[in-house]
Amino acid sequence: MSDTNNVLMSMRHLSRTFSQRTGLFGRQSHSVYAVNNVSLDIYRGETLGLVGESGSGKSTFARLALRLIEPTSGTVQFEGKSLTSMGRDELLAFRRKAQMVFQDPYSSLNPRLTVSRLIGEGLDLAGITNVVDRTTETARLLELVGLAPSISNRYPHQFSGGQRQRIGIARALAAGPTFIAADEPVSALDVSVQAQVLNLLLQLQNSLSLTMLFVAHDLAVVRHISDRVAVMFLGRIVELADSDSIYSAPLHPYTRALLEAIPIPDPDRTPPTPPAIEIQPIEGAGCPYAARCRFAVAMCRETVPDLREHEPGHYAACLRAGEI
Amino acid sequence: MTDLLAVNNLQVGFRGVEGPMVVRGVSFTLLPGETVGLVGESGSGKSLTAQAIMGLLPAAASIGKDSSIVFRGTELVRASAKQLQELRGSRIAMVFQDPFSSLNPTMKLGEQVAEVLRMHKGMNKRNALARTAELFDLVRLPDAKTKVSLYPHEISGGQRQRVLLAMSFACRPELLIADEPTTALDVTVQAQILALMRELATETQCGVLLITHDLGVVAETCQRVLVMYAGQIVESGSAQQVLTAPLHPYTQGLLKALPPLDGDRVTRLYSLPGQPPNLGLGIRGCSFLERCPIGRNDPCSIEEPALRAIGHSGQSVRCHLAG
Repeated sequence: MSDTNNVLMSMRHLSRTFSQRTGLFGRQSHSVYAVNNVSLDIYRGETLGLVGESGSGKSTFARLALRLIEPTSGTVQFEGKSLTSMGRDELLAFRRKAQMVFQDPYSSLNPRLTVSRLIGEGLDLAGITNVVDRTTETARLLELVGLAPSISNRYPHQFSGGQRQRIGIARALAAGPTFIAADEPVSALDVSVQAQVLNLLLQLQNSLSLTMLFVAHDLAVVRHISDRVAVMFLGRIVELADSDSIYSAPLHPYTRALLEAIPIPDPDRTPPTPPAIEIQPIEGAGCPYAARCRFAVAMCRETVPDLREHEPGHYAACLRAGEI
Repeated sequence: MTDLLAVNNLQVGFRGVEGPMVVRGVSFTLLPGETVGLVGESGSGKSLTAQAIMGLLPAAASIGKDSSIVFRGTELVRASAKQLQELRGSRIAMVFQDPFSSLNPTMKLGEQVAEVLRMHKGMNKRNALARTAELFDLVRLPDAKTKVSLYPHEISGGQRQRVLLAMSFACRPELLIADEPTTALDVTVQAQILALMRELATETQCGVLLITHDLGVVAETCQRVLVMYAGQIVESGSAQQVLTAPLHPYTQGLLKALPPLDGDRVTRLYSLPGQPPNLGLGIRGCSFLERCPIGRNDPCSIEEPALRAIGHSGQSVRCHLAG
């Protein structure tokens, strides 16, 4: 998998800061890293899961990958071309090949457009202009996501959350993408509907050979859908491995804490006792997780650990990974 | 032991009593010191059930004629606004999903909690603030002393939920109604808040009605579970029974639809087809029939199943074919 020909997207030292205003009337401002020096490759045909808690920078990372926002520093390459140096035509081609599915199926669909016009926006990008072709293509896409073609003249409010998410997926597919970034696509859905949409995404990814960046906070969902998983904490990737090893043999203490905290519907399991106090992580020198980490030693507060390969394909950014 | 709370044939509808009911005959009891989970998906009527108990239903909603909610011998359905006001915050406490909108953004945290003590316990301002600082310690807010004079926006979501728990337990309530108290929180913070809630409830022998969509949260917190679907309880029993040996095809489907965290990854998750029924259109027979993998024409489409006990284990199910 590490063959460079197989790399679809490649991020190098990618950072994005936002300025935060503090003090009375917001007179002072300082920048906060949402994504901090992230280097990552996404291979063709894989689903890369990105997990982290709120504020970890996972959504910002997905937006950077699609150039919906500009990086502060670092590069994103798609098929070997840097997103920031693309010309107008190249960027338009990229917009066709890389699409997004959003979290909220209520606010991400324009309530004034019918289903056929929503999907039509993607068909515009794909350059399908003939009316007959557009109708057939819309019908095909709706069937692909498990909806009846007869609904194409209805409006978003006439559908349930799960159905809207299917419409959102059909719209993304309309442009004929090779890459899809899905930002929490099932977190607004009920469990029984969530399973339907996850099955649909997996099946589409297989049949259309899509490459997918799947951003979510639910570790079980991410495990289910991803080939590899990256764990983000405070803007950095702290662990990266294939789905099986990251869950069965996590190396980073943060990944372990996340996994232990998930409530499991097994009444025989005694819930683990979590650390009683949450500690606000401190920006600056040392490992960003050191303040919360029960394995932290003096050197952790001095050096920022690099993401290092500990086992083939299993990376962790922890000075003590392997010994703890 | 006498019931702390007894809900009997609770019906909640919109557009008058003649309109369709969205909570359709919910009955259950809660013992002192017991934690009961009320589980269901959006639209199942679980939050309306909780709001009815607290007397906080939306203005457009109304409670059915034969419904009864008895708290420690007091009928709440016909209680006056003043009576309810006295109960809420002192003997019945509440925690909601969103800890930010539950707090007044223009009031210091300490004053908000102290207000509860002044209202219900008649404490003076100084004593109430001193007790508040103790409560902040009890819920393990870091730097409890300084937190008293901060505003809600100055602390994290998890800390806000701790403040709300401090407020809830300020008057040592007999019943806590927690509506999705950890849904807005990150998973590590959720674990902390659930642990704190368990501890406070055990210490004060407070009964808890926990409304949630998360079966994992139920397993870690509740002794008993009520599963709601389309406005009715479709299964009830101990958490042990319902989670390990569910009887209703809906409960079974919910558990099977969860992606597992260990073992082999499956290529396809089990999923219930379709979606919950539109209660406005009226339901004939079993409300789950359309999505049911084992349902059949007779009797499921003809007769509405009753909630019936299976064996002597205390587990009940609303299904013709189960057991």
